[in-house]
Amino acid sequence: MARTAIATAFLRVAFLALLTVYAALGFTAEHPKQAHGDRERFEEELLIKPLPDGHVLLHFHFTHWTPAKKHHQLFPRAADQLSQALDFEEAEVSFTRGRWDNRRWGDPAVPAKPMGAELIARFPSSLAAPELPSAWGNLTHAFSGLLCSSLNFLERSEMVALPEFVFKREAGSWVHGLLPKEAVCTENLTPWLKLLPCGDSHGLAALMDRHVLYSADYHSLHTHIEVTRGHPSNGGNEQLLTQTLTLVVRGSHGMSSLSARPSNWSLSSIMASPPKGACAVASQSQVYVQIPGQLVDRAKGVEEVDTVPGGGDHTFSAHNNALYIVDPAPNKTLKLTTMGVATSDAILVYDLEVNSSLDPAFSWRVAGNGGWEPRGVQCEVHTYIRNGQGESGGLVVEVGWTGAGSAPSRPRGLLRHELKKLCLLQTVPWFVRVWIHTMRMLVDGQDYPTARAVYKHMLGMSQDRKAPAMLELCLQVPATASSMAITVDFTPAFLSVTEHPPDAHRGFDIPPALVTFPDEDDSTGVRAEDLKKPSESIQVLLQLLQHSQRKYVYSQGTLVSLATPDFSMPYNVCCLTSTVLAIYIGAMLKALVKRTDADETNEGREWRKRLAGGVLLMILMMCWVLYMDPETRAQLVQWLTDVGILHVQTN
Amino acid sequence: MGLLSTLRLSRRPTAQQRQKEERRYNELAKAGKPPGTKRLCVILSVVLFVVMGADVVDECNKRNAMKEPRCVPVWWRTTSVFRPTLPIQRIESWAESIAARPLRLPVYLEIWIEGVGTADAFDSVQKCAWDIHNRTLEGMGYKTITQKVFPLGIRIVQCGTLDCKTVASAGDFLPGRSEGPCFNISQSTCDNSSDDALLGSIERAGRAVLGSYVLIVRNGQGSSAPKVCMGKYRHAVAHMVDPWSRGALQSLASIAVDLLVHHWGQGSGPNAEKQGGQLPVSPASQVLMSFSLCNANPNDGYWTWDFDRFEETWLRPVLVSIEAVMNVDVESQVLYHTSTDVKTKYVRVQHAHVVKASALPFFVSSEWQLDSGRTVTSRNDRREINRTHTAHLSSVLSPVVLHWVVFIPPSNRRPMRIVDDTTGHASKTNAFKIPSWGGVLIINPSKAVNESAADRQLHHDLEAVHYWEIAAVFVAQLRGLLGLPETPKATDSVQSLPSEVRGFADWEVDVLLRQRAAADVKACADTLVALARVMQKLPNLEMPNFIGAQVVEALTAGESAVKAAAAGDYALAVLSTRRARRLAEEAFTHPSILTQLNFPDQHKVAIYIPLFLPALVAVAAALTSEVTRFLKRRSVSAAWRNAHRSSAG
Amino acid sequence: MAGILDRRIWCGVALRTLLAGLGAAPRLVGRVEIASPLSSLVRVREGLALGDQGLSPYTGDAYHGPPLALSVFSGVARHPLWSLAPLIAADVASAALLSRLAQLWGLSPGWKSAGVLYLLNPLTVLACVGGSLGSIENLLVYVSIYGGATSNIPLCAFGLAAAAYWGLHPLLLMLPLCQLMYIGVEPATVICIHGLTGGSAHQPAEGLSRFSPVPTARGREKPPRKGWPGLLLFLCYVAFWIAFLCVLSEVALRKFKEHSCRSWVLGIRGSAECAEHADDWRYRSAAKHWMAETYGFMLRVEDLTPNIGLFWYFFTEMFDNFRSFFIFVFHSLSVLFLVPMMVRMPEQPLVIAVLQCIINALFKPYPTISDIALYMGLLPLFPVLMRHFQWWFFMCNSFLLLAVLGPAMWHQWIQVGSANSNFFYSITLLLAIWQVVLLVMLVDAALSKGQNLEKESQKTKAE
Repeated sequence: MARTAIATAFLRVAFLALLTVYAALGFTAEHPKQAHGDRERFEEELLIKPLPDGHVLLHFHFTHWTPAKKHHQLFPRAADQLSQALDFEEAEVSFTRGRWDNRRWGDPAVPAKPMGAELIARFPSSLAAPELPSAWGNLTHAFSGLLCSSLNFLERSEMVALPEFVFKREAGSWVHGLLPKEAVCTENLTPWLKLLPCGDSHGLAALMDRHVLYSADYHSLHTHIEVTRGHPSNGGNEQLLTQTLTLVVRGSHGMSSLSARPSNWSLSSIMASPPKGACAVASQSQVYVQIPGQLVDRAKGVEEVDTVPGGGDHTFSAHNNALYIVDPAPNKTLKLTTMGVATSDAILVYDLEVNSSLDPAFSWRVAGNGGWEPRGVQCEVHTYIRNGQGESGGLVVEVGWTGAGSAPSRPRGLLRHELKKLCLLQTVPWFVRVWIHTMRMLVDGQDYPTARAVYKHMLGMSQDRKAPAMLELCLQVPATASSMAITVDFTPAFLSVTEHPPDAHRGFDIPPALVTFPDEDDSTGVRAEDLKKPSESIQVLLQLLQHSQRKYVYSQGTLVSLATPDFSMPYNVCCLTSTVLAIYIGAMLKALVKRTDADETNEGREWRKRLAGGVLLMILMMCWVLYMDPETRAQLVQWLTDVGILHVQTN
Repeated sequence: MGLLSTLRLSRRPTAQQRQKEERRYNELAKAGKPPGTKRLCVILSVVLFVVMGADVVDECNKRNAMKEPRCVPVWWRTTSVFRPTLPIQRIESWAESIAARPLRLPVYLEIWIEGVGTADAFDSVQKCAWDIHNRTLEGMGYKTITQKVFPLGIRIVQCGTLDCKTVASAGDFLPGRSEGPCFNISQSTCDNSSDDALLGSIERAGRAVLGSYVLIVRNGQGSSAPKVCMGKYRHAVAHMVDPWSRGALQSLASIAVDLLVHHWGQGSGPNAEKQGGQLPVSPASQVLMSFSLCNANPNDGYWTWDFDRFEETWLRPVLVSIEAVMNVDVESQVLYHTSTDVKTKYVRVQHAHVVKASALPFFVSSEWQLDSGRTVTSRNDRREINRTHTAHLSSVLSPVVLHWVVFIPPSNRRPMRIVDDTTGHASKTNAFKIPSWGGVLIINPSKAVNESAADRQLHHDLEAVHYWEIAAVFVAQLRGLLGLPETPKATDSVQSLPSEVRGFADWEVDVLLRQRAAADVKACADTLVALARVMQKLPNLEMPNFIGAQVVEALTAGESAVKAAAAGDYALAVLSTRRARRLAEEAFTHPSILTQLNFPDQHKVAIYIPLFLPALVAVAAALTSEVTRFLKRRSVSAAWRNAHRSSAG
Repeated sequence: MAGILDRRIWCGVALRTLLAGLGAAPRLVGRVEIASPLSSLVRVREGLALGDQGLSPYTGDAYHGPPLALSVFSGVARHPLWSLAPLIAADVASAALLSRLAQLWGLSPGWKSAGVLYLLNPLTVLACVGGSLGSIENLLVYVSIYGGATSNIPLCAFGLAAAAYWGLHPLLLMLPLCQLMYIGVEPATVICIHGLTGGSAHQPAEGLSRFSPVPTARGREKPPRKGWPGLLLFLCYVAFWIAFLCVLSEVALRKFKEHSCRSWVLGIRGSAECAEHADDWRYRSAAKHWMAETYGFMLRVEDLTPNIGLFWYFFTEMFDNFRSFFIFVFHSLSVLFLVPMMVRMPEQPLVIAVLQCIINALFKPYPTISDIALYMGLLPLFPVLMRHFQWWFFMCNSFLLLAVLGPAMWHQWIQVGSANSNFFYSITLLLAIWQVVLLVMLVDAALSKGQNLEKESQKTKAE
């Protein structure tokens, strides 16, 4: 913006004066306060959860909600204009770097995302099918502009899948795109922070120290807009914007994460600075410390050992006990119930508005972590390539329930049905040709009839340079199964030189598989209508935790290497092949018109003629070259002048 | 190469064999047997095939299939570069005509003089009319005083008690303007109500048209230096003693010239294009006004506004009044934690924290997220465009954004005032504007401060007084940005009534329209000429079909604009100028032209030569040898036959 | 038919089944030399699997063969051995046809019997075991030639139509066959029979027996039609058979719902109808009309998988905006010399047919070894050409060398990864040159032989 010449305007009082007349007319009285119901809301929450190996999970969770109106006071204008300009109902972007390590950290408290950038969008069913590509294209461009990313590469139709069942929360046409190679860094974060009313100057976002963020082992930036289209007359839409940032950082700095012994940590020690109070405009700002159930049970056990049986009025406190102490004491302590099942996880709730210089610290009372081991994860998915080298290979998607029975957080899901259901989405780029008829299914290592397992499926066949292959299978396998694999043979295709990316020899990404669990409640936790209820402030994040922890599980993507052509050869190939063709034409022609008798010309003259023809040809070619190529011409002239044949007067 | 290979492959007939063959063929020839055409046919078929590629592979080259006439061989079709033929001549000539005689919307002035003039007054009236005409042109800055440069029409009407008749006219007046009905003018005071009242009768007279203005001269108790009362419409009233007297006419002339040059006639001068180009309006005449309410420090209380009502009450009328000039979009936001870097110091005299005007350039800091999100979402949809040439929002055509910032200082720096460094006066409005960017207003709302930290009731709404303050400053600064005086200015002879809610007088809108029209036509012409140049410069630059159509459309729109201007039809003229410019810009900045890769000829040669040079050489060699041989044989046999016939005969 | 041939047939069959039983098939199925996108058994299986899913086999880019090929394999495709049965049958049938022709033309049977040569040709064996649909195409081509040679017009027309339907390129044989129909069988086969007589002056009886009307299966005696009536009849039959096959395949595809949006015949209307789905993602991999997916796919060379042809590497490296032009040029080269050959040797349509087969093998976008086997099977029927043929030793050895080097280079490039694409490309180039040489020498031989024949006929007239 040009802030050059500045003219201070001294207005005439007369002008103001006459406007006053209309001031009276404009706002007769102090206009009545709006009903509290359609006030916009902004809420900030932070979940802190110690992990078995001494790392700490930090999950920032910001929620904007606005009723359907044209002008907003809290809701970020950029997001509003996005939803106004583009006709989508739900869009979800996530930038992730690092991989959630099941083995070390157990199940993610909130679903972990695959590496790279992911964009999921839901368009209204009313949207005409031919409009979908342009709508999606606009969306990708808008988001890549909004978050300074290269999401616009997802515009091309061979990058996106149109799943049917996997995201079945709402009706509508879902589009799913992934950029496994997207590099995530601070230029994505800065615009993301700009969406917050307080930016990173105040509130919980002020904690976000770039060094900590980008030295984290796992870092996932997530934006989710949900639009309920209002009536066009009132010019606005009801929108729910959720921004989350998930981090896994070392408990305390300077200590190597390799040492198994978990450390004592405090918020300031992790994030290099204590919070600077709450964001003024936030309707609430809370900090939760989640103590994993194992730890609580273990602490209980320790205390029971310590206390003498008759020992009088001892009540167990989840924040201060024989095993560990969390300081300061929380405003209140909750028991987490996931999907209606009471778990032993304890959640210590702190209100940032009450004490603005809050700095919860966790420290052990005993040496070691009291034998706290990471619990087996409920479900993990792997995608890998069988002998990818050569002209054929196999793609394997493997789902493993390592800690199957022993997960108290969701036992009913398994014990009720003897079959467990899951929906699997694997997108395969077109240049990896999967053969559907070779699809096999293994349960616990031995063959399992696919027909029996698949109760719903959707196969998108790959079209060269147009569409990826999409395997979307809804399977039911015996609940006792601890692993399940689906294998498909494929044949790598051969790309033309121009289609290869610059780093062709790195290999080509096969996007990760996505598994969802249809028989478990996978509502997104908080809905817009919950926020409409103005009266009490609801803790969005808490509600989220109390719903299914695993709406979806991703595998990590893999690479497949394609045989590459020689990139340096186009002209050589052109010449060589053309030569063969020329031989064909010339030889055939000669053979067809050849006469067994000799021409009148005797050998010598013929020979001379041919020589002359050759010379003529040479001369012609030289002339042609000189005509075509100015540089050669210049060189020739130069050379001639040097020799002295030609005299160019330079004036 | 091909030749050599066959040489090695093909079996060489032995010498005596060749002798035998030779003899036989000569005998045949001697026997008058016409030569065999077989081999000739072979060659010819090959050649024919090469020349006229068969039409087999249409799906290979669907891309170009429809762009070339059918008779062209396929191989030509697959390599041709397609481009529509631009009407270059037409463009050039039109641009020249525009340059020669720039587009000016006409201005008509009617002077209604009350009372009946004497006969000898009439010739002086005629002189007076021409006087006004020429002096106006001079005043506008035209060197040559001819009617051609700018259509200005002056007409003096005598409004007697009974009838009204034109007594003099100068310049070219609109054809078919009937004389208005006679009516009695009863305006005494100079205020809005009488101004409105007068409008009715003018409309009845059918004179309330864009570009035509009425000066009413009343015979009555006027001072020696008569003052004209100019309202917010297109008419003004002057009081004179005996208007038909020569002296009165002279002063009348000077008044009229003053009116035309400084008020009504603005935007018709030789530099109208420049003025119009400076208007902060995008080629598509889109303007986006983004209002931001910036709370410097919300931690001790923050304000929000009910912008919907503000828009309805204050902005709507203003924007409606100028919507002929620009289509305005309004958006608003509330920002928090927008601290300014400018230092303030508390001055006891003013009881305020003072900001020096010299520090204002650094007032708005770049941390404030004032930039509109529209630019993010605006993106041209290539697929749409490839089908039809719908308006796409390229960077050129995206709307001009005007920012209006309302700044609420932190409580510890309230009240904050802007003070001019030179004269230590505080700014009355506490606002400043930034050319082609927008304006900033500092308001100091007061709240019932209760210092109890526990009370989180930080949220307040602005009060009505703030709203109208904002509105007033907005109007004034908008006028400033549009090149108009922030309040209607009055010269010594003209007293002007400010237009209230609408903020802009009718004649001011006319001025803006004239400037816009002139600028648009010029810009359109320049763009089209530039495009034509590019097309001529780059011969193998491919161009989609609809762009050609767009160019033609722009051209026609421009021409119709010129016509409409000549006919004095403001509305049509403005519409078509705007359309012409938009189309021209779109065509010129279309991505499909901007991003083009075209190969140098060397490259093409390198691709084509290896196959076609040897092949064609082989074909040509065979063809020549066969043809020569055929001719020789024919001549021999023909000769023999003639000899035979003669011997026989 | 000679029983001796039968025994050989059996051993050919046994050889194939043995190889398949030993599990060579899975290794060979993926080979680029054997399986082209048009003619690989894997894709047939895929197409059938899609059919079971209720999807049209032309959904996506899985299958590009003709629809009826699916119904040929519909029952047996899954089974590793039975899926080869149609191919083996095809090979046997074509062997029978070839030996029948040889017998007809009185070529001496025995080890050089054409049928046996074809059946025991390693190329055909590999192609058959590798499940290349090419062997069926070969059979159809042989049928048409046989029909032509025995002036059995309906049979010839059927063979031609079916072959064209199967692989499009045999359509180019139409011209020589029309010629054949026009001039009649006798002069056309002069060259073969002459080769016989020229080979050994006696056994005229058999030589003459060919001039007498052809004893067809039903043994009815009727002079073979020739001239315009024969030609017209032939053309009518061809048109009829092609229409018949198209209708059949439409019927075969009827049951798939994607197909319903496509047209009933020839797909003009259909393509127009489905045009508005062009930018609809739900239809981005939906089935287009089967002709667009088979012949269209063949004409616009989209699949750049390496093969023994000339197209793949050229279009891998070629810049995009020259593509369409060069595709046109390459295709046109296969047609280029058809008319000239007809003009040059109008009395030898059968020879022209053989030459055209070589040209096809040279300029198919996705050639396989069975295309080479096609003309290799036909060559023994023309001993005259063979006799005129130069450098047997050189040609055979060079071919063997290429046959060894090609797979070796492929292995180096793909499996081992120590070589790059140029290695394999060079071999394909050499193979192309080899075929060009073969072609030119055959033309040479045919021409000179033809002239000898002319002269002799003139002599006989003179006497």
